[in-house]
Amino acid sequence: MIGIQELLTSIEVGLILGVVAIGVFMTFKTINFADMTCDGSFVSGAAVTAVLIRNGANPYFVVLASMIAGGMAGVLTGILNIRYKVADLLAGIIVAYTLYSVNLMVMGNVPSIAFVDHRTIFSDSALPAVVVVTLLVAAVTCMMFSGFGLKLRAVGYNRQFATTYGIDVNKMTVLGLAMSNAMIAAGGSIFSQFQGFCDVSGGFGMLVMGLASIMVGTSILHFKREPLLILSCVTGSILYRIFINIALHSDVLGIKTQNLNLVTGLIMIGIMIMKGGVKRNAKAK
Amino acid sequence: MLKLSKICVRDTLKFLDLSVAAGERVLVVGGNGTGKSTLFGVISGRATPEHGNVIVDGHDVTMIPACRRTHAISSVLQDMKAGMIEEMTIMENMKLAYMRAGGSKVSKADIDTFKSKLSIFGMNLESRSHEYVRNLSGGERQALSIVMATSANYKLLLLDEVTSALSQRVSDLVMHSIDEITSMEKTTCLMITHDTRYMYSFGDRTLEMKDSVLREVPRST
Repeated sequence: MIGIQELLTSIEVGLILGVVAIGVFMTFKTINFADMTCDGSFVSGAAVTAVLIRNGANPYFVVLASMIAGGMAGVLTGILNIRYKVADLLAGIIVAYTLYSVNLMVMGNVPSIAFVDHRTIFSDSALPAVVVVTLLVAAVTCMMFSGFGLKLRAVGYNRQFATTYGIDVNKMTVLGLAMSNAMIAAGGSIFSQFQGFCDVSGGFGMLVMGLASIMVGTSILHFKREPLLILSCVTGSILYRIFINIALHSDVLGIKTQNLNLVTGLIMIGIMIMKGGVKRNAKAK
Repeated sequence: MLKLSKICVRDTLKFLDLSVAAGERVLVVGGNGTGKSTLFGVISGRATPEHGNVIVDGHDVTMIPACRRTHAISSVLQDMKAGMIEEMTIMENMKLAYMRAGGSKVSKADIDTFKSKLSIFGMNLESRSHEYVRNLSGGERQALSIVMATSANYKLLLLDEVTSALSQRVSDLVMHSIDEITSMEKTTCLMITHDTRYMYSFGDRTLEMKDSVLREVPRST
């Protein structure tokens, strides 16, 4: 079994990566756009953070700068899709692929940068990071409850309705992608500050992790009011981390670190099968 | 209020002219594939004409995209799903309808007006504002989409076969309520219907679409 310290670390990492899960939720669920930019924009956030922190920048300002970088990546995906009619999946894949080189350039053409000895939001305690994450979660939840959030959700649910009621679907899609990738990059920034280093390959699997968190969260905490599902994403991220940690520390299961993707995949398949069963039963009734 | 001149859309509409005065309610009838829905598409901005102009309230809106015409033109489409969001509540749909006018908040007076319009349909929708739209029947959904379309400020209302998927009893109720709302608000309205029962009873005049041309159908006095 895992100890208290490992449990606390799981909660901490889950909370930080909950910001990434929110970003993924905003595209996949809110605006109904299968955005694959995530793995690239996560590293963009981390790369900007590493470079700026090594140059003595304020760690809180660095989170903001990372969000701008991530937002720009989202805008690029949006422009490819809206302006040049590239399919959503492909637009995200192209941008994420391209970002690998861009992130390397930002990092001065070195694959990893360590900044353990520099000042970060974790330097004194974990509390400032918890405050930053809470503020980000609160900001997105408030936005989702606002008129703007309602329009954003309308675009995801029914584009024809949105056009009929004067919502500029293209503009809202680009804004949704920008905000989503800004959140993902913020997650990358905070996570790299937590680790004290940035790796150019560190974003691999982040999208799947985000989706797994959403599945776990929305299965356990299914709020009727959709804006509250943002809280399900964070809860899901924390629970996902705890599940993974328990699985890796279980002698009975014998799972090793290299089996992490297998465990994640099995968790996702399990949830989807369970959800499918519930839907079938509901239809049968 | 509405003036179409020499509108051409592929083989569907050929040099079509139409003029509707402010406060006038016009019924458009015609067989399948004659271009009635294309005509509405051109007016609302969902279809772009290859030739001709669309003038609404003195402004040429021919090249203005659909989403920027909604402050002047309100539509209820044939496809009920396009007129509302099933995954949202009646109240949330209402907010979106009012936000069409440009604001981001809905006042208490707006909510009261919306509920009083819903009560015209006699379906008790006004007391179920937190009900999800997916739980409503076809007639209730159409009633909601009509009230949403007549919310906020608009200059022209387009109704595209709004009773086609409804039973005769509900159709009569919906048509009666549309008549009441549009008369009360002196709405300029253009309505497409296949239902010949309303051909002479609704609105001020009837036009028939045939061979890409609109002809006046005389009404018996």
